[in-house]
Amino acid sequence: MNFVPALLLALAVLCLCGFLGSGALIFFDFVGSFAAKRRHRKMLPQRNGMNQGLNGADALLTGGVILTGLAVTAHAAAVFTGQSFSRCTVIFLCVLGAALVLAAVSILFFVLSHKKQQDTGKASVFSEMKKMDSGERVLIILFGILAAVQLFYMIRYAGVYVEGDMTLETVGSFLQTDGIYQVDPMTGQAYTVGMPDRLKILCLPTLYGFLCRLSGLAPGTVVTAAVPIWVFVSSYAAFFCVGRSLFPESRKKRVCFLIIVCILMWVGCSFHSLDGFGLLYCGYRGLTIRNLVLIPYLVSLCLRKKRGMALICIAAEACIVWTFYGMGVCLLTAAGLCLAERGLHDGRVSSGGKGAA
Amino acid sequence: MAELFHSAWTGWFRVTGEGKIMALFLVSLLFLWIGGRQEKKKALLRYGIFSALCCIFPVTAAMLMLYQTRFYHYEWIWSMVPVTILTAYAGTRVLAECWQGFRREAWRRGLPLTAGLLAVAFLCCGQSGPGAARADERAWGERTERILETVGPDMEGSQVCMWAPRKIMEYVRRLDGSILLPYGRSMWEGDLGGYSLDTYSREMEQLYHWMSLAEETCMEDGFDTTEMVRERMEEQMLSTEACLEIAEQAGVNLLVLPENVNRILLDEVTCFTGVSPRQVSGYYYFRL
Repeated sequence: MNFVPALLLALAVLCLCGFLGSGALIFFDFVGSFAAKRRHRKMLPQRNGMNQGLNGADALLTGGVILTGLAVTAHAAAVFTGQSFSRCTVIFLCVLGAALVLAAVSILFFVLSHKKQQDTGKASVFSEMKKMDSGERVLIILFGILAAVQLFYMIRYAGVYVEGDMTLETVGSFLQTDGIYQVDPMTGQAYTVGMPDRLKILCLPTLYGFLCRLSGLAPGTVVTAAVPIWVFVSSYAAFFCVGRSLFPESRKKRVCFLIIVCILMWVGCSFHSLDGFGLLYCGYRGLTIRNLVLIPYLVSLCLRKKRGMALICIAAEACIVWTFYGMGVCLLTAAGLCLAERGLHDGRVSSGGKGAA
Repeated sequence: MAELFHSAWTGWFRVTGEGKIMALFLVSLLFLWIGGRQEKKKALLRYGIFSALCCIFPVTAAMLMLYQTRFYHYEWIWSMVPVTILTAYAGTRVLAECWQGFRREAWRRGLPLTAGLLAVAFLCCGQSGPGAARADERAWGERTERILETVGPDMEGSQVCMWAPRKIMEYVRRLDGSILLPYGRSMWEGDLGGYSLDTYSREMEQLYHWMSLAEETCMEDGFDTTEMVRERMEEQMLSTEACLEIAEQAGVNLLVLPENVNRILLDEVTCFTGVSPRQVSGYYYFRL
């Protein structure tokens, strides 16, 4: 398998996600500020969307979730109206185009309205890089090497584990029959009874099919090489967000956290439900995306108390993994973290009350 | 329900059997719990402990398995526990303390501890993984590709429906979505059955059993398996003629058999189909 096209496709998807995510974060921030202004009927201090604890990694991850949302929109429209896969691709391109335009307008608006702040921001980034001490540089280089080795290993063992999964066959059958879930992917024969309705909503094979159609690459290359690279980068972006939430005060600790995550991926690559196994051998699966991208990102959002954003992770899970009527692990995790936070808050309030009494 | 509880009861041992990342995680939880007073992220720790306990105790584990639609096995309920996050968090805190905030001067204390932690991590690695089977997997892929390349011109213009040994059938759908199969991977991988409401007929199961028999009784190192073939055919009430009829009804027009298939089976197939086999990279194929 030639991995250069797969690498280029993954890079293109990452850029697309970054662009979509940046636009979306600016848009959400603008809408949020506007709603707050209307609620309070007074001018609030001007808020800068990128400085509210959201960063490039957030943009990348939000973009990934939005891309999944666009794919499920096109997928559901095609499945429930009986459209062909070609028509579904056209629908996807239309909604993607609209989202890109919206993102471009948001970014343009942001650039124009924050030009001065951006200039000073650039200067501060450079000075921050200069301020970095040698220990910090060593840690960053170490993490870079570890991640690169892992990426190389992952590409080398692409598609080696397929047990219990039929994504590749499903994508192949979509492209072959130009229909979505028309034939049993295992045999290529038309369904006699059909498939469970709850599974019909799962859009990952359709998204991979779009990537195959748009890039002209074979399903094997897209599913087992390009998508795992995208998931790999997204996964470390999600863990980076967790690191930022856990150690906001120290960049060294954040990089150390990422290095340990990297080592834990190696440690946990022997059993099929562990994170390392998913990342290294089957990055294209919905379960892997949920466990390594959505859940860490959700944890970071809950730690930063951005519960509104956490909802998009819960929705994304319902579109890619078989859940209990849309209620999946992301919902449980978010609910658990909120309850734990509330319990702590109540405990503090009651102990404070007692102290005051 | 009994099966669910049994799965929840034995699942924990299955998860801890391969590699010791769970042991690392539990030690990390203990470390964070002991240092709980200074703990800034108490909510995450509380959630981690509570969710881990829910996954360990069989009753709550069974409930979680019901919640995750019963389609997924026990091990997947651990998705809700932030194992990697909490282990890495504890590790970072230990290292930051020993290196006194990652200062170079603290190497006397930090370096041995870092080496120790790395050794522990190394010891916690599991022994197996699918990486070891990569060469084997690649060989199967290439073999299937060669068969398709050879057979392709013969089958041009017609829809191919292939009946072949298990591994070939497994790879053929991944390589070429246009090739049909009478039965697929869901026949021997039960979990995949959950993706479809269709079930295989008894006839298709017979085809599968016949091919499994043909694969298992291949002649190796001059060992004659004829007696074994006769016994197994009788035991499973299989007949080559009946299976070939079923295959024909299912629209099979390409039959692939291993090159070292038992002579008795090869002769029967040749006799009943009236087609002489052709050879391709370790296999016979019949254009039916």
